Amino acid sequence: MPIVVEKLNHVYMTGSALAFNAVEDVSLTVNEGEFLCVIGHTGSGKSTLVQHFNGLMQPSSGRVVVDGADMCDKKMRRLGRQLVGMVFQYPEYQLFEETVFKDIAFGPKNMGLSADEISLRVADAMRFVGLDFDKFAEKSPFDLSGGEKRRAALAGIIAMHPKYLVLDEPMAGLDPSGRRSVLDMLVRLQKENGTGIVMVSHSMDDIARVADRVAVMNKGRLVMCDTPENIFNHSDELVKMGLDVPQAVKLADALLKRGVDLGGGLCTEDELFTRIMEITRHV
Amino acid sequence: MICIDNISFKYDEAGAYALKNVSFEINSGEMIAIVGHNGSGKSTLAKHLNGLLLPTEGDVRVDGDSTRDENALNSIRRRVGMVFQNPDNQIVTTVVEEDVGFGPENIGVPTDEILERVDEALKAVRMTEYAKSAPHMLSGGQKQRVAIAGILALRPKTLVLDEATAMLDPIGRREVLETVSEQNKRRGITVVMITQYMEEALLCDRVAVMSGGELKMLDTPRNVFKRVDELRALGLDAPIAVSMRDRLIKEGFPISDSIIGIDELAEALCPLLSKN
Repeated sequence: MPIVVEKLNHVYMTGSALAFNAVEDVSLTVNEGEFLCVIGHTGSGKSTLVQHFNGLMQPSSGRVVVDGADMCDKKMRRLGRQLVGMVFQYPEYQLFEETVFKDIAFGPKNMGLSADEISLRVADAMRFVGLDFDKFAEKSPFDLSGGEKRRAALAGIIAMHPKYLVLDEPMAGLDPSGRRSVLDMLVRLQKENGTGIVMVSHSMDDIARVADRVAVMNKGRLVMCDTPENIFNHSDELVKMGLDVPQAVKLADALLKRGVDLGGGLCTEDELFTRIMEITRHV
Repeated sequence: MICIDNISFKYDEAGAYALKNVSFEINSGEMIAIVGHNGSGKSTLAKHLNGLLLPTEGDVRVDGDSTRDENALNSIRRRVGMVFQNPDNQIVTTVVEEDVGFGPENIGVPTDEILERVDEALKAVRMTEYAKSAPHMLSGGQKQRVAIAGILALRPKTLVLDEATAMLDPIGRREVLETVSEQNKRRGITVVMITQYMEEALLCDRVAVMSGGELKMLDTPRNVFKRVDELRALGLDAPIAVSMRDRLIKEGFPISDSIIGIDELAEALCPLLSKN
């Protein structure tokens, strides 16, 4: 079942002079197995919004229902935490155990799984994120490189087998090849395991490649939620909101300005390339 | 001018070289990008430019002064200012203008002049209206501009940005890049930009490509982005105009292989795609 967000409001510092409505009247459904990206300027409420998805934050009004479990209900929240894995910005700062194995095992252990099952899941998760078990399992997580740490932190969540994975800027600070490997990993998680992915990101090119839908937050409100093709058709509005469009859209717009209309719906380099080749065959 | 003279560096004696035999010069008034994968040594190199790190071998000289010379170090740090990735780690006071004045105060600038410098620096980054604001109420891009103002108030000749846009949203990135370009173009401040974004490298006069602690390329963006296969092999990427250019050339499109910008590419493609 999906994650259903109904008329969600979140007010910080309620009742004080500094009361601030970070999320206003947001309704949204995250479908099973979909890849939903959330974009918005700093302070648009996107991080506040997604932290409601496993009951980490409680709505001031409205509700969030995960797989039928209402996150306002304290007993249900425990279930929500297992269904929805949450990866914060720079998750490698949360590594804490003596070894990579123990760090990844921490979540499954808390779920009360047997030692055998835990070992199995750790090995599986490490394979999934591309960390060689023999080489890394007994290493201190603090001896890994930046990219390896990031993957170890992700493995810790993946090992809990969440039905949904919520990630806040999972590629921030990584180099282009590191970005690609994290992104490919998320796509595999979605396609192979059917995990629903919610990714907060500023990287429009990455979003264009992987998103089934894009939710746009502006000043606490959900202003659009649609396919990347439809969302990135609104270049001017997005730029006005402090956002950006993928480079491919910029190139299509630059051509349009010069009188060459390639038609809409081109968000990635591959799509643009294919369309250009089609057109030239007909010229 | 900053002269990087055959430097090598190890974080600890037993460890591997983080930098190996790196030599090049950063000219006064230029804007230069240093790119490279994570762990390529680009940040380590940046920290050598004002003596935050001292080379294990070789020398770094700022206008002739070696960063090894302890007597020159204070003056070098005034001449070469650094802005880091996380704006929250660089702000020390609770009011924007006090934060910007912190540097000049520390180096003993007289009070009247501090005020003058703070005004000037805030104006330069277009943050004057926030002079009395609390830094934690600002956006990431605004905080980063305050951090830059804090450096400008020291009137440096060179501004080193160590992935200063990595944590910002798109508008924050634009704000910081515009501010920095303006300082370079209008006031002749030398800018060294360590970055992961190839689009930012396009804005620079020259691009230095690092990998495995070594300098692999140093050239204009136009020339560097002619070597896309090598860049990819070093874990880097090409901006869209460059990779699209190459794909289309392979298909026989008669366009120049020195195109790097989106508008340039659109201009070149326009006559080929128009129906007449």
